[in-house]
Amino acid sequence: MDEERVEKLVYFIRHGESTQNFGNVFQGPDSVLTERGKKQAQFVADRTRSLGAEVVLTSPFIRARETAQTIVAATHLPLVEELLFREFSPPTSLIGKPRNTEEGRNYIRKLQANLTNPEWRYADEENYFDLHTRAITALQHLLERPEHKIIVVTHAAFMRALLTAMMTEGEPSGETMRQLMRFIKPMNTGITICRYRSWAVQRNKWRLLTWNDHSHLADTDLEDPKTYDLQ
Amino acid sequence: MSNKRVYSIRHGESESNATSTMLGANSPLTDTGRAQAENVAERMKHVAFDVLISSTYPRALDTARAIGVSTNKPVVKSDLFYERTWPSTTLGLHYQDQKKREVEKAMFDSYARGETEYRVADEETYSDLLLRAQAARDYLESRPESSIVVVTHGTFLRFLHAVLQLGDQLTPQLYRNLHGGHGTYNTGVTLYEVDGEQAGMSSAKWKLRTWMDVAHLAE
Repeated sequence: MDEERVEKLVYFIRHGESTQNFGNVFQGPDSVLTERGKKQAQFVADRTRSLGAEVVLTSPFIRARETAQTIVAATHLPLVEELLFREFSPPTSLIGKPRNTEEGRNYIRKLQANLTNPEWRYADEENYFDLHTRAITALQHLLERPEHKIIVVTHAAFMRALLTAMMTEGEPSGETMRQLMRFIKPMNTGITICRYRSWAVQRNKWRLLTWNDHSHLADTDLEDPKTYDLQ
Repeated sequence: MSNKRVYSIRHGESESNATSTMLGANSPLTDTGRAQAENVAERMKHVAFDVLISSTYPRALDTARAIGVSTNKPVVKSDLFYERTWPSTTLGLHYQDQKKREVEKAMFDSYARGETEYRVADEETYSDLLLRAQAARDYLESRPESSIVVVTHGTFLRFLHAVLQLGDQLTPQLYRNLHGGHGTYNTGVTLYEVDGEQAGMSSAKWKLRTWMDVAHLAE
Protein backbone atom coordinates (compact mmCIF):
# COMPACT_ATOMS: atom_id res chain seq x y z
CA MET A 1 0.00 0.00 0.00
CA ASP A 2 1.10 3.51 -0.80
CA GLU A 3 2.64 4.76 2.43
CA GLU A 4 1.45 8.31 1.86
CA ARG A 5 -2.16 7.22 2.13
CA VAL A 6 -3.85 8.50 5.28
CA GLU A 7 -7.08 7.02 6.58
CA LYS A 8 -8.85 8.13 9.76
CA LEU A 9 -12.03 6.87 11.31
CA VAL A 10 -13.51 9.32 13.79
CA TYR A 11 -16.35 8.59 16.18
CA PHE A 12 -17.88 11.90 17.23
CA ILE A 13 -20.01 11.58 20.33
CA ARG A 14 -22.24 14.32 21.69
CA HIS A 15 -22.16 14.70 25.48
CA GLY A 16 -25.03 13.39 27.62
CA GLU A 17 -27.98 15.52 28.68
CA SER A 18 -26.85 18.56 30.65
CA THR A 19 -28.52 20.85 33.16
CA GLN A 20 -28.83 23.52 30.47
CA ASN A 21 -30.24 21.29 27.71
CA PHE A 22 -33.63 22.57 28.81
CA GLY A 23 -35.62 25.72 28.16
CA ASN A 24 -33.70 26.42 24.96
CA VAL A 25 -31.08 28.55 26.72
CA PHE A 26 -27.72 29.78 25.43
CA GLN A 27 -25.31 27.39 27.08
CA GLY A 28 -21.93 28.19 28.57
CA PRO A 29 -19.02 25.92 29.54
CA ASP A 30 -20.08 25.16 33.11
CA SER A 31 -23.29 23.14 32.96
CA VAL A 32 -22.97 19.56 34.21
CA LEU A 33 -24.57 16.23 33.25
CA THR A 34 -27.99 15.47 34.72
CA GLU A 35 -28.65 12.03 36.26
CA ARG A 36 -30.18 11.07 32.94
CA GLY A 37 -27.13 12.41 31.10
CA LYS A 38 -24.86 10.29 33.30
CA LYS A 39 -26.88 7.18 32.44
CA GLN A 40 -26.73 8.01 28.72
CA ALA A 41 -22.96 8.43 29.05
CA GLN A 42 -22.74 4.99 30.66
CA PHE A 43 -24.65 3.39 27.80
CA VAL A 44 -22.55 5.01 25.12
CA ALA A 45 -19.37 4.19 27.09
CA ASP A 46 -20.30 0.48 27.08
CA ARG A 47 -20.75 0.69 23.35
CA THR A 48 -17.38 2.36 22.71
CA ARG A 49 -15.52 -0.64 24.14
CA SER A 50 -15.83 -2.53 20.85
CA LEU A 51 -14.84 0.32 18.52
CA GLY A 52 -11.10 -0.26 18.61
CA ALA A 53 -10.37 3.43 19.16
CA GLU A 54 -6.91 4.51 20.28
CA VAL A 55 -7.60 7.80 22.04
CA VAL A 56 -10.42 9.93 23.42
CA LEU A 57 -10.29 13.65 22.65
CA THR A 58 -12.74 15.85 24.49
CA SER A 59 -13.96 19.39 24.66
CA PRO A 60 -12.95 20.75 28.08
CA PHE A 61 -16.51 21.90 28.79
CA ILE A 62 -17.73 20.03 31.89
CA ARG A 63 -20.64 18.18 30.24
CA ALA A 64 -18.30 16.82 27.56
CA ARG A 65 -15.48 16.05 29.97
CA GLU A 66 -17.81 14.10 32.26
CA THR A 67 -19.04 12.08 29.26
CA ALA A 68 -15.45 11.46 28.11
CA GLN A 69 -14.37 10.37 31.59
CA THR A 70 -17.16 7.77 31.59
CA ILE A 71 -15.89 6.49 28.23
CA VAL A 72 -12.32 6.36 29.52
CA ALA A 73 -13.40 4.43 32.61
CA ALA A 74 -14.93 1.80 30.27
CA THR A 75 -12.19 1.71 27.63
CA HIS A 76 -8.99 2.63 29.58
CA LEU A 77 -7.98 4.82 26.64
CA PRO A 78 -5.83 7.94 27.03
CA LEU A 79 -7.85 11.14 27.43
CA VAL A 80 -6.78 14.42 25.87
CA GLU A 81 -8.61 17.72 26.37
CA GLU A 82 -8.75 19.83 23.20
CA LEU A 83 -10.17 23.34 23.34
CA LEU A 84 -10.70 23.08 19.57
CA PHE A 85 -13.71 20.82 20.15
CA ARG A 86 -15.50 23.20 22.53
CA GLU A 87 -19.04 24.33 21.84
CA PHE A 88 -19.96 27.43 19.86
CA SER A 89 -19.57 30.49 22.10
CA PRO A 90 -22.71 32.64 22.25
CA PRO A 91 -22.55 36.28 23.38
CA THR A 92 -21.39 36.15 27.00
CA SER A 93 -24.23 38.42 28.07
CA LEU A 94 -26.76 35.79 26.90
CA ILE A 95 -25.28 32.70 28.57
CA GLY A 96 -27.85 30.97 30.74
CA LYS A 97 -30.70 32.98 29.23
CA PRO A 98 -33.50 31.49 27.08
CA ARG A 99 -33.47 32.20 23.35
CA ASN A 100 -37.07 33.22 23.61
CA THR A 101 -36.50 36.51 25.45
CA GLU A 102 -36.42 39.94 23.90
CA GLU A 103 -32.63 40.02 24.10
CA GLY A 104 -32.29 36.50 22.68
CA ARG A 105 -34.67 37.20 19.82
CA ASN A 106 -32.92 40.46 19.08
CA TYR A 107 -29.58 38.65 18.75
CA ILE A 108 -31.01 35.98 16.45
CA ARG A 109 -32.77 38.59 14.30
CA LYS A 110 -29.57 40.56 13.84
CA LEU A 111 -27.62 37.37 13.19
CA GLN A 112 -30.02 36.44 10.37
CA ALA A 113 -29.77 39.90 8.85
CA ASN A 114 -25.97 39.68 8.80
CA LEU A 115 -25.47 36.12 7.60
CA THR A 116 -23.42 37.13 4.59
CA ASN A 117 -21.04 39.39 6.51
CA PRO A 118 -18.04 37.55 7.98
CA GLU A 119 -17.06 40.66 9.95
CA TRP A 120 -20.37 41.09 11.76
CA ARG A 121 -20.69 40.16 15.42
CA TYR A 122 -23.37 41.01 17.96
CA ALA A 123 -20.86 41.15 20.78
CA ASP A 124 -18.09 38.72 21.71
CA GLU A 125 -19.62 35.54 20.23
CA GLU A 126 -18.38 33.29 17.41
CA ASN A 127 -20.19 33.92 14.14
CA TYR A 128 -20.74 31.26 11.45
CA PHE A 129 -17.47 32.12 9.76
CA ASP A 130 -15.50 31.84 13.03
CA LEU A 131 -17.15 28.49 13.66
CA HIS A 132 -16.36 27.31 10.13
CA THR A 133 -12.71 28.36 10.47
CA ARG A 134 -12.43 26.51 13.78
CA ALA A 135 -14.06 23.44 12.25
CA ILE A 136 -11.51 23.41 9.40
CA THR A 137 -8.70 23.74 11.94
CA ALA A 138 -10.14 20.91 14.03
CA LEU A 139 -10.39 18.58 11.00
CA GLN A 140 -6.80 19.37 10.07
CA HIS A 141 -5.76 18.67 13.66
CA LEU A 142 -7.41 15.23 13.51
CA LEU A 143 -5.33 14.41 10.43
CA GLU A 144 -2.16 15.37 12.25
CA ARG A 145 -2.90 13.10 15.23
CA PRO A 146 -0.91 9.85 15.07
CA GLU A 147 -3.93 7.64 15.84
CA HIS A 148 -6.14 6.12 13.13
CA LYS A 149 -9.30 5.54 15.16
CA ILE A 150 -10.28 8.45 17.32
CA ILE A 151 -13.21 9.19 19.65
CA VAL A 152 -14.09 12.88 19.95
CA VAL A 153 -16.54 14.03 22.61
CA THR A 154 -18.03 17.31 21.49
CA HIS A 155 -21.19 19.39 21.19
CA ALA A 156 -24.30 19.78 19.03
CA ALA A 157 -23.54 23.04 17.25
CA PHE A 158 -19.84 22.40 16.78
CA MET A 159 -20.53 18.88 15.51
CA ARG A 160 -22.75 20.38 12.83
CA ALA A 161 -20.09 22.93 11.95
CA LEU A 162 -17.64 20.04 11.47
CA LEU A 163 -20.06 18.25 9.15
CA THR A 164 -20.72 21.42 7.19
CA ALA A 165 -16.99 21.87 6.69
CA MET A 166 -16.65 18.25 5.50
CA MET A 167 -19.61 18.50 3.15
CA THR A 168 -18.73 21.75 1.45
CA GLU A 169 -14.94 21.38 1.15
CA GLY A 170 -14.72 25.05 0.37
CA GLU A 171 -16.11 28.39 1.37
CA PRO A 172 -19.84 27.99 1.89
CA SER A 173 -22.02 31.07 2.10
CA GLY A 174 -23.40 32.05 5.52
CA GLU A 175 -26.87 31.04 4.34
CA THR A 176 -25.70 27.61 3.22
CA MET A 177 -23.92 27.06 6.52
CA ARG A 178 -26.97 28.07 8.46
CA GLN A 179 -29.27 25.88 6.36
CA LEU A 180 -26.99 22.84 6.71
CA MET A 181 -26.71 23.35 10.45
CA ARG A 182 -30.45 23.74 10.90
CA PHE A 183 -31.13 20.56 8.92
CA ILE A 184 -29.23 18.15 11.13
CA LYS A 185 -30.78 17.29 14.45
CA PRO A 186 -28.43 16.09 17.16
CA MET A 187 -29.14 13.93 20.15
CA ASN A 188 -27.41 13.41 23.47
CA THR A 189 -24.71 10.70 23.16
CA GLY A 190 -25.57 10.07 19.49
CA ILE A 191 -22.56 8.57 17.65
CA THR A 192 -21.55 10.07 14.31
CA ILE A 193 -18.97 8.22 12.24
CA CYS A 194 -16.80 10.00 9.70
CA ARG A 195 -13.99 8.66 7.56
CA TYR A 196 -11.12 10.51 5.93
CA ARG A 197 -9.25 9.10 2.95
CA SER A 198 -6.42 11.17 1.57
CA TRP A 199 -6.56 9.42 -1.78
CA ALA A 200 -10.22 10.25 -2.50
CA VAL A 201 -10.20 12.41 -5.61
CA GLN A 202 -13.63 12.21 -7.21
CA ARG A 203 -15.33 12.22 -3.82
CA ASN A 204 -14.87 14.30 -0.71
CA LYS A 205 -11.95 13.22 1.42
CA TRP A 206 -14.11 13.39 4.54
CA ARG A 207 -17.25 11.34 4.34
CA LEU A 208 -20.18 11.01 6.71
CA LEU A 209 -20.89 7.32 7.25
CA THR A 210 -23.44 7.50 10.05
CA TRP A 211 -25.15 10.44 11.73
CA ASN A 212 -26.45 10.19 15.23
CA ASP A 213 -26.68 6.45 15.82
CA HIS A 214 -28.23 6.12 19.25
CA SER A 215 -29.33 2.51 19.17
CA HIS A 216 -27.51 2.06 22.51
CA LEU A 217 -30.41 3.98 24.07
CA ALA A 218 -33.03 1.65 22.57
CA ASP A 219 -35.21 -0.08 25.16
CA THR A 220 -34.19 2.46 27.81
CA ASP A 221 -36.13 5.50 28.95
CA LEU A 222 -33.27 7.74 27.84
CA GLU A 223 -34.39 8.53 24.32
CA ASP A 224 -36.15 11.75 23.62
CA PRO A 225 -38.78 11.52 22.32
CA LYS A 226 -38.79 7.76 22.42
CA THR A 227 -41.45 7.12 19.81
CA TYR A 228 -39.38 8.72 17.06
CA ASP A 229 -36.46 6.47 17.36
CA LEU A 230 -35.19 3.30 15.83
CA GLN A 231 -35.09 0.39 18.19
CA MET B 1 -50.24 19.73 12.75
CA SER B 2 -47.93 17.31 14.43
CA ASN B 3 -44.54 16.14 13.21
CA LYS B 4 -44.29 13.53 10.53
CA ARG B 5 -41.42 11.10 10.29
CA VAL B 6 -39.97 9.46 7.21
CA TYR B 7 -37.72 6.39 7.41
CA SER B 8 -35.79 6.03 4.22
CA ILE B 9 -34.19 2.61 3.73
CA ARG B 10 -31.67 1.61 1.11
CA HIS B 11 -32.24 -1.82 -0.49
CA GLY B 12 -30.16 -4.86 0.50
CA GLU B 13 -27.04 -5.91 -1.37
CA SER B 14 -27.71 -6.43 -5.08
CA GLU B 15 -25.79 -8.44 -7.69
CA SER B 16 -24.57 -5.10 -8.95
CA ASN B 17 -23.21 -4.15 -5.50
CA ALA B 18 -21.66 -7.58 -4.95
CA THR B 19 -19.86 -7.71 -8.28
CA SER B 20 -19.14 -3.95 -8.64
CA THR B 21 -20.81 -4.06 -12.05
CA MET B 22 -23.34 -1.75 -13.70
CA LEU B 23 -26.33 -4.10 -13.96
CA GLY B 24 -29.12 -1.55 -14.23
CA ALA B 25 -32.69 -1.56 -12.98
CA ASN B 26 -33.21 -5.30 -12.73
CA SER B 27 -30.17 -6.36 -10.71
CA PRO B 28 -31.66 -8.66 -8.03
CA LEU B 29 -30.80 -9.06 -4.35
CA THR B 30 -28.02 -11.50 -3.50
CA ASP B 31 -28.36 -14.03 -0.66
CA THR B 32 -26.58 -11.53 1.55
CA GLY B 33 -29.00 -8.83 0.40
CA ARG B 34 -31.98 -11.01 1.29
CA ALA B 35 -30.49 -11.68 4.75
CA GLN B 36 -29.97 -7.94 5.24
CA ALA B 37 -33.58 -7.35 4.20
CA GLU B 38 -34.71 -9.89 6.80
CA ASN B 39 -32.64 -8.10 9.45
CA VAL B 40 -34.03 -4.68 8.71
CA ALA B 41 -37.52 -6.20 8.46
CA GLU B 42 -37.11 -7.62 11.95
CA ARG B 43 -35.98 -4.22 13.20
CA MET B 44 -38.89 -2.37 11.63
CA LYS B 45 -41.31 -4.52 13.64
CA HIS B 46 -40.38 -2.28 16.57
CA VAL B 47 -41.01 0.97 14.73
CA ALA B 48 -44.53 2.38 14.44
CA PHE B 49 -45.31 3.33 10.86
CA ASP B 50 -48.46 3.68 8.76
CA VAL B 51 -47.44 3.10 5.17
CA LEU B 52 -44.69 1.24 3.30
CA ILE B 53 -43.64 2.76 -0.03
CA SER B 54 -41.08 1.32 -2.43
CA SER B 55 -39.19 2.06 -5.61
CA THR B 56 -40.33 -0.18 -8.47
CA TYR B 57 -36.89 -1.79 -8.97
CA PRO B 58 -36.78 -5.48 -7.91
CA ARG B 59 -33.96 -5.03 -5.36
CA ALA B 60 -35.98 -2.34 -3.55
CA LEU B 61 -39.32 -4.12 -3.94
CA ASP B 62 -37.93 -7.36 -2.50
CA THR B 63 -36.46 -5.45 0.44
CA ALA B 64 -39.81 -3.72 0.96
CA ARG B 65 -41.68 -7.02 0.70
CA ALA B 66 -39.57 -8.49 3.52
CA ILE B 67 -40.53 -5.50 5.67
CA GLY B 68 -44.15 -5.90 4.55
CA VAL B 69 -44.18 -9.54 5.65
CA SER B 70 -42.70 -8.84 9.11
CA THR B 71 -44.98 -5.87 9.75
CA ASN B 72 -48.08 -7.11 7.95
CA LYS B 73 -48.27 -4.13 5.62
CA PRO B 74 -48.91 -3.93 1.86
CA VAL B 75 -46.18 -2.44 -0.31
CA VAL B 76 -47.22 0.72 -2.13
CA LYS B 77 -45.19 1.12 -5.34
CA SER B 78 -44.16 4.57 -6.42
CA ASP B 79 -42.30 5.49 -9.59
CA LEU B 80 -40.66 8.48 -7.88
CA PHE B 81 -37.98 6.57 -5.97
CA TYR B 82 -36.09 4.49 -8.57
CA GLU B 83 -32.32 4.79 -8.85
CA ARG B 84 -30.72 7.62 -10.81
CA THR B 85 -30.32 6.31 -14.34
CA TRP B 86 -26.95 5.97 -16.07
CA PRO B 87 -26.15 6.08 -19.77
CA SER B 88 -27.23 2.71 -21.14
CA THR B 89 -23.79 2.48 -22.77
CA THR B 90 -22.33 1.73 -19.30
CA LEU B 91 -24.53 -1.37 -18.77
CA GLY B 92 -22.44 -4.41 -17.93
CA LEU B 93 -19.27 -2.43 -17.19
CA HIS B 94 -17.24 -2.94 -14.01
CA TYR B 95 -17.31 0.08 -11.67
CA GLN B 96 -13.59 0.54 -12.26
CA ASP B 97 -13.81 0.11 -16.02
CA GLN B 98 -12.14 3.05 -17.69
CA LYS B 99 -15.17 3.88 -19.82
CA LYS B 100 -17.46 3.88 -16.79
CA ARG B 101 -15.03 6.07 -14.89
CA GLU B 102 -14.81 8.53 -17.77
CA VAL B 103 -18.59 8.83 -17.89
CA GLU B 104 -18.71 9.35 -14.14
CA LYS B 105 -16.00 11.98 -14.30
CA ALA B 106 -17.81 13.79 -17.12
CA MET B 107 -21.02 13.87 -15.07
CA PHE B 108 -19.34 15.12 -11.89
CA ASP B 109 -17.22 17.65 -13.80
CA SER B 110 -20.40 19.08 -15.30
CA TYR B 111 -21.78 19.55 -11.76
CA ALA B 112 -18.53 21.26 -10.78
CA ARG B 113 -19.10 23.71 -13.67
CA GLY B 114 -22.63 24.32 -12.42
CA GLU B 115 -24.30 22.80 -15.50
CA THR B 116 -27.82 21.49 -15.02
CA GLU B 117 -28.61 20.16 -18.51
CA TYR B 118 -25.42 18.22 -19.29
CA ARG B 119 -25.99 14.74 -20.65
CA VAL B 120 -23.47 12.07 -21.71
CA ALA B 121 -26.11 9.97 -23.46
CA ASP B 122 -29.58 8.88 -22.36
CA GLU B 123 -29.22 9.26 -18.57
CA GLU B 124 -31.11 11.64 -16.28
CA THR B 125 -29.63 15.12 -16.15
CA TYR B 126 -29.19 17.15 -12.99
CA SER B 127 -32.42 18.99 -13.88
CA ASP B 128 -34.29 15.70 -14.36
CA LEU B 129 -33.08 14.49 -10.98
CA LEU B 130 -33.94 17.74 -9.30
CA LEU B 131 -37.51 17.65 -10.61
CA ARG B 132 -37.94 14.03 -9.55
CA ALA B 133 -36.49 14.63 -6.07
CA GLN B 134 -38.73 17.67 -5.59
CA ALA B 135 -41.72 15.60 -6.69
CA ALA B 136 -40.70 12.85 -4.25
CA ARG B 137 -40.43 15.40 -1.45
CA ASP B 138 -43.82 16.91 -2.27
CA TYR B 139 -45.36 13.44 -2.46
CA LEU B 140 -44.00 12.51 0.98
CA GLU B 141 -45.25 15.81 2.42
CA SER B 142 -48.69 15.33 0.94
CA ARG B 143 -49.16 11.79 2.24
CA PRO B 144 -51.66 11.90 5.10
CA GLU B 145 -49.84 9.33 7.27
CA SER B 146 -47.68 10.55 10.17
CA SER B 147 -45.04 7.82 9.84
CA ILE B 148 -43.80 6.67 6.45
CA VAL B 149 -41.25 4.06 5.35
CA VAL B 150 -39.80 4.40 1.86
CA VAL B 151 -37.39 1.88 0.32
CA THR B 152 -35.10 3.46 -2.23
CA HIS B 153 -31.53 3.63 -3.60
CA GLY B 154 -28.14 5.03 -2.64
CA THR B 155 -27.69 7.73 -5.25
CA PHE B 156 -31.29 8.84 -5.49
CA LEU B 157 -31.49 9.04 -1.70
CA ARG B 158 -28.45 11.31 -1.67
CA PHE B 159 -30.03 13.56 -4.28
CA LEU B 160 -33.29 13.70 -2.31
CA HIS B 161 -31.24 14.31 0.85
CA ALA B 162 -29.50 17.26 -0.84
CA VAL B 163 -32.88 18.73 -1.82
CA LEU B 164 -34.29 18.25 1.68
CA GLN B 165 -31.15 19.75 3.16
CA LEU B 166 -30.67 22.83 1.01
CA GLY B 167 -33.97 23.44 -0.81
CA ASP B 168 -33.68 26.40 -3.14
CA GLN B 169 -30.02 26.91 -2.23
CA LEU B 170 -29.00 23.62 -3.85
CA THR B 171 -26.62 24.01 -6.79
CA PRO B 172 -24.91 21.34 -8.92
CA GLN B 173 -21.63 22.22 -7.16
CA LEU B 174 -23.13 21.72 -3.71
CA TYR B 175 -24.83 18.51 -4.84
CA ARG B 176 -21.47 17.19 -6.04
CA ASN B 177 -20.00 17.75 -2.57
CA LEU B 178 -23.00 16.46 -0.66
CA HIS B 179 -23.03 13.31 -2.80
CA GLY B 180 -19.34 12.74 -2.23
CA GLY B 181 -19.61 13.58 1.46
CA HIS B 182 -22.19 10.93 2.31
CA GLY B 183 -21.61 7.19 2.48
CA THR B 184 -24.45 4.67 2.13
CA TYR B 185 -24.95 1.13 3.40
CA ASN B 186 -27.26 -1.59 2.16
CA THR B 187 -30.38 -1.47 4.37
CA GLY B 188 -29.07 1.60 6.23
CA VAL B 189 -31.98 3.45 7.84
CA THR B 190 -32.17 7.23 7.54
CA LEU B 191 -34.74 9.10 9.59
CA TYR B 192 -36.17 12.54 8.87
CA GLU B 193 -38.62 14.59 10.87
CA VAL B 194 -40.96 16.87 8.98
CA ASP B 195 -42.32 19.82 10.89
CA GLY B 196 -46.00 20.13 10.07
CA GLU B 197 -46.07 23.65 11.53
CA GLN B 198 -43.85 24.87 8.74
CA ALA B 199 -45.73 23.32 5.85
CA GLY B 200 -45.24 25.37 2.72
CA MET B 201 -41.75 26.52 3.61
CA SER B 202 -39.98 23.81 1.69
CA SER B 203 -36.76 22.45 3.17
CA ALA B 204 -36.75 24.44 6.43
CA LYS B 205 -39.24 21.96 7.81
CA TRP B 206 -37.21 18.81 7.10
CA LYS B 207 -34.67 17.74 9.69
CA LEU B 208 -32.26 14.82 9.68
CA ARG B 209 -32.45 12.70 12.78
CA THR B 210 -30.30 9.72 11.76
CA TRP B 211 -28.20 8.91 8.69
CA MET B 212 -27.57 5.26 7.77
CA ASP B 213 -28.18 3.50 11.04
CA VAL B 214 -27.19 -0.15 10.56
CA ALA B 215 -27.36 -1.41 14.15
CA HIS B 216 -29.50 -4.32 12.84
CA LEU B 217 -26.46 -5.59 10.94
CA ALA B 218 -24.21 -5.79 14.02
CA GLU B 219 -22.21 -9.06 14.04
